[in-house]
Amino acid sequence: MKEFDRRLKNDALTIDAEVSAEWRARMDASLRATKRLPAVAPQKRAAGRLWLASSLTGVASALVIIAVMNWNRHEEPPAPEVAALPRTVPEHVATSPAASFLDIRTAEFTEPLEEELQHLQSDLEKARRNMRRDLEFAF
Amino acid sequence: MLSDEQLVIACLNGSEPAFSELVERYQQRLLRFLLSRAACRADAEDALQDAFLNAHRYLESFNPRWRFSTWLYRIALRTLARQQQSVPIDDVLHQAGGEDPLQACIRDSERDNVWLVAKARLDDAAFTAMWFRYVEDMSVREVAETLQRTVSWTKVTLFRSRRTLSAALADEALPRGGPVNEGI
Repeated sequence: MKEFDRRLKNDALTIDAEVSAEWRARMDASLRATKRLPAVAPQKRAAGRLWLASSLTGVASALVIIAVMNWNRHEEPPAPEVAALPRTVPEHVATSPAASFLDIRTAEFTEPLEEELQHLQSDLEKARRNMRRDLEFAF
Repeated sequence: MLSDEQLVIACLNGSEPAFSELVERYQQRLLRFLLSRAACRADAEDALQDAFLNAHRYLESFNPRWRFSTWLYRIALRTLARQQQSVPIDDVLHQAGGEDPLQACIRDSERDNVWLVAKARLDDAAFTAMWFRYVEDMSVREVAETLQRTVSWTKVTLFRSRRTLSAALADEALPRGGPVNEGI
């Protein structure tokens, strides 16, 4: 590897790269005619301004998005006030002297309907059974 | 003897001979590199002059974190690229009768010059990376910065280019009809 590295270097040195006197004279004349330009510092300032501008644009667009989202948001209806449930036990019964030993409860008005439903279902079941028995007799 | 960077500072303080000294130091090295990449010697000399003039013009923009040689080579690469954009290298070679300027500048040697093989086998970027690393003794990082590539790309390119060149040189060294060494 070292030998290969040496060969790379030595072979490069065999390239004839002598500059002519004319070239050197031309070079010196051009150098005298060339004016040096100021350092390219404004690029940095431009980059800083670009950064500031992009940050401001980002913040402004975020504000616009928030505003638009709030603008389009539907007004939710206010929650209804919770109304006090009407007492099912009449006032005069609850405050009567007998109330102290009576077990007063709210009436369950759905209970009769449930019983009625059960009765109907058992009637239906009976009817179905009877019909099946009659069919068996018929055939 | 003043370093390159000290000469740059002297030049920035108004000493014109300081820049002439820099030209003196680099003219041959830079021309050697440009000859390996340009279409003809005249183009290489023009690119050399433009590179020095641009370096002189923009010396105030020189960043001391770079080595002067790295900065100068980067300018030379840009100058060469601009030159080849305006006149394609194939056109110049055609006008010059197809003669490779590198071939014309190489002194007679008993064996093939490795850079001629490199020019035939490697692409421009790989050739330049090899030149900077092994002729200009730049570090891998400096090569990467000069070519504006990543360090990984540079390492991989150098490795592959070395392997390609070694294989090519081994092939050429073999006598005709001799055994083929597949291990290389």
